[in-house]
Amino acid sequence: MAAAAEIGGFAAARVAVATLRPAAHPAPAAAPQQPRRAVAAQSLRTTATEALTADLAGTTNGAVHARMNSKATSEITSQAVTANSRRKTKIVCTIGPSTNTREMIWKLAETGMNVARLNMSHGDHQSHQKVIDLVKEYNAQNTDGNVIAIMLDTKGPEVRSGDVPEPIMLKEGQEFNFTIKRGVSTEDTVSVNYDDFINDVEAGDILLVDGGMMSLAVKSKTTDTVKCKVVDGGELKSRRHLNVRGKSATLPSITEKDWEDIKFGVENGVDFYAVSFVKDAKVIHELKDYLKSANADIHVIPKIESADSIPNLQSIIAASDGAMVARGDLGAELPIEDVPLLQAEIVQTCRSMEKPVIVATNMLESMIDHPTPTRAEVSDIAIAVREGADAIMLSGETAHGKYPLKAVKVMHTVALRTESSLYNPTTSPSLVASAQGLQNEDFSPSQLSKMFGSHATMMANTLRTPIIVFTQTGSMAVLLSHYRPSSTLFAFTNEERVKQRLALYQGVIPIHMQFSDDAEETFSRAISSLLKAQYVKKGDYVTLVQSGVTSIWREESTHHIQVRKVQV
Amino acid sequence: FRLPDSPSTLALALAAEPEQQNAKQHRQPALLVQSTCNSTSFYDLCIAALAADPASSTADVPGLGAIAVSAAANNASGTAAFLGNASDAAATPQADRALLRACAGKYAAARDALVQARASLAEQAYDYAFVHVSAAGEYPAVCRTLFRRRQQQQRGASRSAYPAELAKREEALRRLCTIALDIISLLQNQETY
Repeated sequence: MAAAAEIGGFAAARVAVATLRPAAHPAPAAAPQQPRRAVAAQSLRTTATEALTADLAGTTNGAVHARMNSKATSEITSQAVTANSRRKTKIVCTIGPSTNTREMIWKLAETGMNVARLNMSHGDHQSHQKVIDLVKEYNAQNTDGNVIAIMLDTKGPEVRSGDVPEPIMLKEGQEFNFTIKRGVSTEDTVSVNYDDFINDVEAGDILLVDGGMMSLAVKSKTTDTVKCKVVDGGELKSRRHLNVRGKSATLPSITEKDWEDIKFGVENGVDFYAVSFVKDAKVIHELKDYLKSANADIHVIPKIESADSIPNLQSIIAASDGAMVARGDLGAELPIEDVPLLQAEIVQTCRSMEKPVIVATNMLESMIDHPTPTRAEVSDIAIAVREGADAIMLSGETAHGKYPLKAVKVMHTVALRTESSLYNPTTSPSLVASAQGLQNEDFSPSQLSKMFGSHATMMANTLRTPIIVFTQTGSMAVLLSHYRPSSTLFAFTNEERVKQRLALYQGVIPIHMQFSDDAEETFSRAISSLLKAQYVKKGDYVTLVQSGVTSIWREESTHHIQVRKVQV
Repeated sequence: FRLPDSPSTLALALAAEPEQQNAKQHRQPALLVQSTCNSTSFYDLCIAALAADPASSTADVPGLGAIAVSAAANNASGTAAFLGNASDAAATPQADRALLRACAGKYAAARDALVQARASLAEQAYDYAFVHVSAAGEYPAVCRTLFRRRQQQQRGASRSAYPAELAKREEALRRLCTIALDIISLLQNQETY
């Protein structure tokens, strides 16, 4: 079985970029060619762009064509077979007591989990090791299907109390307790977000709430509860900072426990770190330096969750490999009415920087205890999808909720439905960046790739064809994902780690495959793989993208783009 | 359905009146035009396309590149307008209008890419120009695919085959883009870095 170029009146058009064609006639000897440039950099001279000539202006009207194109595309789309109803927005699931068994991990994966998140604030390395091993086993058994990435979420220097439905008034002298049991909120007891809290405090310590707005004296401890007496009272709200006077004032951004967890992640080859309580870019650089020294190819995703991180948003995201909108703590630190605006700002900043963004916390919170979502929660998921988030995340719903599989199913269904309305050009603004809009940026090989990606996406969107991209590093797949093509992006890579990482990116289905030296053979293998998995069928069309950029990019980079028919 | 016919591919690529074409062919092309066209895949078409612009007699190689790109842009514009007219023609079946408008959009996108390519050439950003011209050469394949896919979904004699006129125009644009690409490759090789 071999896929071949379309046979018809014309061979498939094939255009090679930056590849010198042999001349049809020998070049005159009198004009010797200069040696090729061997460096990528070039300074642009600043000149006015030539205006559209009268000839061109006279034959076309941009607005008319824009309208025609939009309407025509919509009508053509309605005629096209909808070959891909695959969800594009990825789902991150926190694994906890409700889901850390083989049976449940398999079911989560089949229901729609794309990334498994391990929350290092709870559990120990042994329990997390078990989950990692199970996810790896699942991936090893499902080489043709869904791949699950692993995200390790550090605890960070902060300890916070849990959520409370209403503020609790603490009066001087009353008894009040903090427990490591999850989800507790009663008149005299609330949860904390860190299991080892029980070991970090001793009788006689003074607990400060929000830096001293309230304080409590530790009287005694049980195996899971710290019993206190209120010294200075006040109103206890959700997610208050807790620290022990004299013990945590000078905590580093990455605590000793965090370093232990990070090393654990390196040893197990996790795909992402979600780093807690990042306030500036310094902690990101510190962690990345460590990962580099450990030769660990792991991406760093800061959780944007504190008031201090907002002014440094640009520098934090620039230093990172993505970001997570951690709305629970954002809402605790900043006015709750600001959270939707901050979410949009963080998503937009990540989108403009071509970094993946995850929207997290409270998305289906009610499903911890109830089998169906609220209407507000459904709308919340739809908003994140429409904003263009790469992924949406479940926390307590899958970690310790009663209905983890139903929660994933709801998230899957809502995201899929929202996406289907999103990619109708006449009802939604286009997410595709225009190639023209890229013209004014600095010259660079990545800029060349952007132009190329924009053209490829425009072609694929008209045809509603899947895009097939071959990529060693994943960078072209990431770029194409950034343009949010309407159909699926099948990213073939010969690197297993790249495959795992691409599981996080919107619209990308990563597939591992060895590349051949012969481009046609590589394409044939890819098509065979897609046919076998029933992602495409005979007679479908695909948009094929092949690119590579090496250090001497002018000599080696190639960009090919073709519209091709699947033949057997 | 049927689209109006037009002359040969060469004449179509030039969009020139036969009389003007004959008159121009009597002028000896400049030596630089000849040597530049020698580096392209379609020598005769290259000579004709460049000679159609009087400025080519005094242009340098970058100037010739810009003229070649403009010729391709004019060609794409012509086909976009042609398809737009066809979709509005009274004789066109209603079911075919959307398809023709979509194709007009793709040739317009090719024209836009070529306009961008000329701007890149003016700034000596030859790699950008190369990407845009390459894309312009491929947009017509989207149009052909739309026709072919539609054909797959229909049955019997009423099937909308890819019109011969459109195939001819696609080939004309492809050749002009190839000429432009070959000249841009010349420019890339001439850079002195």
